Amino acid sequence: MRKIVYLLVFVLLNLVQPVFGQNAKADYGVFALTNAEIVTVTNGTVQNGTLIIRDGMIESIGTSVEIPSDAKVIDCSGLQIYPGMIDAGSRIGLIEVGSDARTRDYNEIGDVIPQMKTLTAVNPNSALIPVNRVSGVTTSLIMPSGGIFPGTASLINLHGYTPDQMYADFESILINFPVTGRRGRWDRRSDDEIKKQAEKNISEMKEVWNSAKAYARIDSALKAEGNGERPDYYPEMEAMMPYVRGEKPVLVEVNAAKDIKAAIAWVEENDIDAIFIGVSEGWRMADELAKAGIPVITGPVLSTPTRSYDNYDQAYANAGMMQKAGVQVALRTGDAENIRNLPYNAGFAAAYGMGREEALKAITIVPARIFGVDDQLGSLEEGKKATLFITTGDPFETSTDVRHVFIDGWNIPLESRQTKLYDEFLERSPGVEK
Amino acid sequence: MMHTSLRQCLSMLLLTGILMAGGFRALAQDLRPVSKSYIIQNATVFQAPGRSYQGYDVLIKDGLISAVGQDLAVPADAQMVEGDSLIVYAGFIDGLSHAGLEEPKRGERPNVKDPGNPPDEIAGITPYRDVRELLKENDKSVSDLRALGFTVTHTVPYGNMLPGKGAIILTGGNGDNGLILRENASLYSQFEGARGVYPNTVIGVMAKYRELYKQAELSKNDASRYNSSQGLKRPMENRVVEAFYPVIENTMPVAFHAEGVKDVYRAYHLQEDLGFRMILVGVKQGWDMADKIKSSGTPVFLSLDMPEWKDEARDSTLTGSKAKEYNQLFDRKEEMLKKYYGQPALFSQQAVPYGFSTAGLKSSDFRKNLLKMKEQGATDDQLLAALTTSPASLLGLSRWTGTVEPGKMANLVVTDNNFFDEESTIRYVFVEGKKYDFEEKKKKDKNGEKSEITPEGKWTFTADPGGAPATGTIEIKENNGEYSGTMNYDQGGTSFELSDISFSGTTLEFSVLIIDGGQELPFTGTLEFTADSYSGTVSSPSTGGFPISGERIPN
Amino acid sequence: MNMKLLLTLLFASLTLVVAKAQETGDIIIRNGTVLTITNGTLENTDVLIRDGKISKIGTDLKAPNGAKEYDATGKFVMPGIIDAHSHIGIDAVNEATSPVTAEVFTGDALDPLDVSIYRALAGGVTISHALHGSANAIGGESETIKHRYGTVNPSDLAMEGAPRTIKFALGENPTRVHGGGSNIVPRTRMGVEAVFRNAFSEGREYMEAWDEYNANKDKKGYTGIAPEYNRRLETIADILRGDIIIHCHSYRADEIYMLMQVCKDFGVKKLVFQHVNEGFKVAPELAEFGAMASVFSDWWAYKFEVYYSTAYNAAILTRNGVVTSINSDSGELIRHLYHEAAKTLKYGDLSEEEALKLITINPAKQLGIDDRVGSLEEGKDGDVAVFSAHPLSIYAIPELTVVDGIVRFDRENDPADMRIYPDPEEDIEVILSHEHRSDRCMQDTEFLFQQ
Repeated sequence: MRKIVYLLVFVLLNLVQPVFGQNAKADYGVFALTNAEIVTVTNGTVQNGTLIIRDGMIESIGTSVEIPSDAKVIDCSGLQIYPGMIDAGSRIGLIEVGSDARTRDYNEIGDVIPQMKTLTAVNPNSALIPVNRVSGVTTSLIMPSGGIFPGTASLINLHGYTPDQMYADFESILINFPVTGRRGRWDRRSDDEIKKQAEKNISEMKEVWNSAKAYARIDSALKAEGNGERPDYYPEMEAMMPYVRGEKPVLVEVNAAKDIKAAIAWVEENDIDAIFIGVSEGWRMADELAKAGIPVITGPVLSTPTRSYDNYDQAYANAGMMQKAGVQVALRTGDAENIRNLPYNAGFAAAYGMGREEALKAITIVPARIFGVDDQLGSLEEGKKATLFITTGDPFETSTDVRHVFIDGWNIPLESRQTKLYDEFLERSPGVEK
Repeated sequence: MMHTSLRQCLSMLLLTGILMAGGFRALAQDLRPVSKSYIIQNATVFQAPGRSYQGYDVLIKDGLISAVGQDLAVPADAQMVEGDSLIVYAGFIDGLSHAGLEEPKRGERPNVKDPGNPPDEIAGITPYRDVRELLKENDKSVSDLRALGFTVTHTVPYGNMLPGKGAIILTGGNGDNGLILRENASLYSQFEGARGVYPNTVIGVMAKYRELYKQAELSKNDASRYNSSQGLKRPMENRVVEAFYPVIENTMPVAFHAEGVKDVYRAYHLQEDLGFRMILVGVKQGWDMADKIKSSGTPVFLSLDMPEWKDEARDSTLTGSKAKEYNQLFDRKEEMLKKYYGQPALFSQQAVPYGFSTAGLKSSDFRKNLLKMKEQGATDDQLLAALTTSPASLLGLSRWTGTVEPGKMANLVVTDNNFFDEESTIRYVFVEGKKYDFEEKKKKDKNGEKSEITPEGKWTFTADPGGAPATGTIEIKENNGEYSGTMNYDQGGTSFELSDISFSGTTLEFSVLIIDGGQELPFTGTLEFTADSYSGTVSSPSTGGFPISGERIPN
Repeated sequence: MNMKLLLTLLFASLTLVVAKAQETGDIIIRNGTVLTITNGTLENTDVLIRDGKISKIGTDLKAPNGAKEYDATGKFVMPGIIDAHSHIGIDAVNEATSPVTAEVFTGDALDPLDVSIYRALAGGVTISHALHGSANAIGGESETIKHRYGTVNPSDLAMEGAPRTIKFALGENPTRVHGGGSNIVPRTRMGVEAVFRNAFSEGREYMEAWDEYNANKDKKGYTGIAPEYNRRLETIADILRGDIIIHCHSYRADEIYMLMQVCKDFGVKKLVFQHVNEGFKVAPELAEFGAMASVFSDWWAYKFEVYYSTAYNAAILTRNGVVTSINSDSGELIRHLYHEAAKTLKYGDLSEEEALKLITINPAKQLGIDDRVGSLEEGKDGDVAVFSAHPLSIYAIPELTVVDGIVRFDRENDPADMRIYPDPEEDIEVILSHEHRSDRCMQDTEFLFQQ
C-alpha cells in the first residue's frame, strides 16, 4: 500500500516536469534513499543500506535506519550512491560560448589582480550547469586565468540562483608560477629570450609576494596600535593578506618539472601553504612533491604528453605516479562545458596505474580535504552535506546511468537542454513530410 | 649601367665606413695587378682528389692554368708566388647561394584585396626573373664566399615558391668577361609559401606548381600550333608559364631547394609526376634516401648549414630515472648529429655523387663543419671531391673547372696547411686567374699569449640602419674562453647585454635584445675584427641587416 | 623501338611498382574475444593475417612459418579503429587564402614524422582521414592515411586505392576567415551557398569546354585552342562526375539542409557531413538523402553555432538510419576514440555493437573503404587492435595495434622516445600547455587574425 502511494507521488512529480520550455525545479525536503549500495569513500561500502537526507544534510546512513514518516522514499534497489564528484579546477559558470569573448569572464586585464574573484562572475543560470551536473559532478573549483596573479578561485556547487547560494566555502588566490620552458611549438622565442622573460617574471612574482607580506605587517602593526588607522587602500595587497599570513592555502599553477622544482623551493623558503595545480610533469618530480608534502590538483588526465619524447600515456599515468609516491592528488578537467567527463578522467587515471579506489578519492574526498571542506563534502557520512548522486553502477563506466543527483539536499531534476533536445528530436514530428 | 651601380655601391660602402674600417681582409683589391700571369712555385698541388704532388709549380696565364709540373720555366711576365709549404687545390664549387644578391627585408604583410589571387610578385611566383639582372658583383656576399675558397657558385634569387632563374657565376675575376659562367642554369623552386596570400602553404605550392606546369605544357603546344597554322585563336601570353618552356624542353633543370627529408620526397613526388630534370639543393636530411638519390641519378647538393654541434659534456650530477632520461635524450641528440655530419661519409660510401651548398651557412662554420664531417668518417679526398670535382661534374662544368690541370680555369685555393686539418688558413684564392690575398693568421706565440686580434676591450660603434646612425660603445670581456659584453648607446644612455657571443679567427658573433620604445627587437651581429677596428653587420627579422663598425678605445 | 630498350623500360616500370608496394607482415593473434563488427562476437578465436591481409578467422588455426604469434587470451580483438576526421600526420591543414581551394591536397603535405601518429596507434587507431581544414567553403582534397609509423617517406602513409575525398565547410569558419578576415564573400551563410553554386556552375562549364575541345581538337580545320587548364575546376568537375566524396564541416541544421539542396541540384550524391552537431535536427532529411554523419561524442558550446547541440546526436542519427561515425578532429581525442564511442551507451543507449560501428565500419563507409577495412573479415586488410578488456570499458587499455599485418604498437615494447628525427638543436624543453579547445581545423589561418 505504502509503495503504491510513493509510486503515485513519483508519477505525479513526473507529470509536472516535462512541460516543454519550462525548467523543472529542484525538490527539497526529507528523503530516504533505500536499499542502496552506499559507497561512502571514507568508511567502506554499505550494502542494502538506507541514507536519510534532512535539512540538506545526511542525517543517517546504515542498514537499519528507520525511515522518517515525512520522507520521500526513493527506492535504490540495484543502485549505488556516491558522494558528489568534485572537479578541482574548471571554468564552469565563467564562460558560456567559448569563442565569444563577451561570454568569457575568467581573465581580467592585469598581471597582478588577486582581488578579482571568480565567484563574482559565475552565472548561476548558465546552460552549461544543468548539462554537467546531471552526470554527478556536483562541485567545482572555478579558476581565473591570465597573468601571474590572475585572481581568486572559488569552490561552487552546481546548484543555486545566486553565487552565494552556490558557494562551497573555499576560495584561494591563484599564482601562475612563471613558465621557464617553451610554451609550445608556436613559441618562437630564442632560448635566451625565454630565459630572460622567465627570470623577469619570477622576480616580479617574488616582489609582489614580498610587498604583500610588508603590507600585512603594516596592517598588523597599525591594528596593534589600535587607533583605527589602516594601511593605504591597495586592493591587490589587501586580497593577499590572509595568504601571506598563512591563514589560507594558495593555489600555484605549475607544470614543467623544472618549474615544479623551483616552485617547491620558493614555497618552502617562504613557508607558503601551497596547493599545486596543473602539475602535468608531476611524475618527473613525484618524490620531491611527496617530500615537500604539497597537495596536487592535476588534469585533464585525457591529454597529450607534455613533451614529444614522453611515453604516449604519460598524461594518463601522471596522477597515479604521484599518488603512489605519496602525494595527495586530486583531479581536474580544466574544462567548462564538459566537466561531465570528470569521472572518465578519473577512469583513465584508474586504468593507467592509480587504481579505481584512489581515482574515486581523487574526485571526492581528496579535493574536499585539500580545500578544507571535508567536514561537508567528499564522502557519505552523517552530518555532511547531502551532495551525492545515485547510479546504476560504476560511475567511471559510460554504460552507467545517473538516476538522481542531490546538491545540498536538493533533488536536482535530471534534465538539461541536451536531454530536452533528445526528447524532442529522437522521433521528430513532423518528419520529412509536413 | 654597371658602372653607375658599381659607383653607387662603392660610395655606399664608403659612407658606412666599412672600407675605412678594413672590413675586407683581401688587400689592394682596387689596384690593378701588375701582370695577369702568375707562377706558384714549389707547392703541394692537389690536381684532383687523391692526386697530389709535392714540389710542383702551377703556371697561370690569361685566366687559365697553362701548366702544372715540376720546375716549370718562369715566363718573364709572371709574378711569382712562393709556394714553399703551401698547398694548392682547385677552387671550390658551391651548389646553392644567393651570392651577389641583397637579402630582401621582411616588410609589412602585403595589403592585397583578394589574398586568393595576388599579383605574381607577392605570390612569390616570378620564374621569369633572371638572377643576372639582380646581381651586384661587389656585394659582400660574393667576397665572403670567395674568402671561404669558393670560386664558383650557383646563385639564385631570394623569394618564395618560384623566385626565378639561377646562374652559375664566378666569385671574382678580372671582370673582362663578367662573372657569369652560365645563365639560365636552373629554374629555382622551393616549398616556400607566400605570406598571407595564395599559395600560402606547402599544399598550395604543390597544387600551383602542378597547375603551372600543366598550363605550360598545354600553352606551349598551342603556341607551336599557332605558329604553324592560320585562323587559330591567339593563345594567351603569360611570362610565368613561358618560364617553364625550357624546363619542358629539357634544356633547363629545376633546382629544388629541399632541406628536410619530407621536402626531398615532395620534390621527387612533383618531379616524378611532371617529369622534369631536377637538381636537389640545400639538402640537410638525405641519409635515409641515399638509395633513391643514387638510383634516380639526381644531382644533389648537401647543405653546409648544419645544426650546431656543441661539444658539451654530459651532466653527471643526475641520478635515477632523471639520469636515465637525460642520457637517453643526450644519446638521441648525438645520434641525430652523427646522421647530419656523417651524411657526406655515408653518401661517399654508397657512391652517391654529391656537392655542397652554402645557402644559409655562417662563414665561421664552414671549416668547423667540414672538420666535424671528417670526424664522422668523411676522408679528405671525399670532402675535396665534394667541393671540387663532384659539383663540377654534377653541374656540367668539368670541362672548365674542378681540377688543377692545364686548360682549366685558374680557379685555385692556396692554403698554408692541409685544408681539412685543424690548423689551416687560406692564403690566396685565384678566380679566373685573378689573385686574392689573405692575411696570414696571427698565431699564438710560444708563451701562449693570445693572438693580436682579440675582441676584448672597449670599442666605439656606429650602426646605420638608414636614417640617423646610432653610436656608442661596445665592451667585450673574456673569461676562460667565455665572452660577455655590453652595448652602451649614446642615445638615451641605455645599455644592453650581449649574449651568445662566439669568437673564432677574427669573427665575432653575438645576439642582443634591444628594447626600444617598449618594443623588443632581437638582433644578431657578425663582426670582423682587425687589431684595432672592426666592421660587420647586425640584423633583426624586422629591420633586416645594416652595417656596423667601430674602433678600439685605447685603455 | 629496339628490344633492349623495351626490356629496360619494362624492367624499370617493374621496379617502380615493387618500390611502391607497401610493407606487409604475417601475424596470428590467438584465442581472443573477437569483435568482428559485421559478424558478431567470437569467443576464443584466432585471427590470422598473411601478407597484410586477414586470411583466416577461426579456432586452432595453423600459423605459417615465420608468422608472429600473439596470445590474446582474455583480451579483446577488434578491427583497427578508423577516424573519419583528423589532422594528424600533415604539415599543412588550411590553404586559407581563398574561399575555394579545391586544387590543394593534404596528401601533398603528409608528415610521417608526426609522433601523433604513434599516439593514435596507441589508441588502436590504424586509419585516419587527414582532412583539409575548415577555413574555406571548398577546402582541399584529403588523404586517407594508414598509420604506418616508422617510415620517413610521406607517400608510405597514403592508403593506396582509397577513394578521393574533399573538404567543404559551412558556417562560422569560412565566413569568419573570408568575410571577416579578408572582406570577400562569404560573410554569411547565404554567401556560403553562393560560393558552392558558383563553383559547381563554373566547374560544369569548364567540364563542358574541355569535352568540346577534346571531341574536336583532332578534327581538320578546328580553330579552337585548349581551355585554360585550371586544377581547381578540374577537381570540381570530378566532384560533379561523382569521383570524389564530399566531407563537409557543418554545425547548424539549416546549413546542413542547404548543402543537401545544392547537391541535389547538381546531381552530387556522395556527401558526408562532419561534426554536424545539429544533424539530429534534420536526421530524417539526412537519411532520405543518404548523407552520412561523422560527429563528436560530446563537444559543444566552444562557439555559438554549437551552443544548441546535444551529446545524444550520434544516437538520434543512428536511430534515424543515418550512417554515423564518431571522430576526433584532435591529436588528443584520437587516442581514445573507443572511449568516445562508449559515451553513446550513456547518451541514447546505443548497443555495444552499434557503438563499435561508430569507429569501425561506419567511418570506413564514409571514406569509401568499407570493402577493405572496418570489420574483421577474411580478405580484408590486416588492421587490428587488441584491448585488455572490452574496448567500450573505461578500464580497457589498447595493447597491440597492427597495420597490414605489421605490429606498429605494442604496449609491452613501448620505448619512451618515439620521435623519428628529433631536432638536435632543441634545447629548452617544450611544454605544451593544455589548450582549452584546440581547433586544428583552423590551423594555418592564424595570419588572418594577427593585428
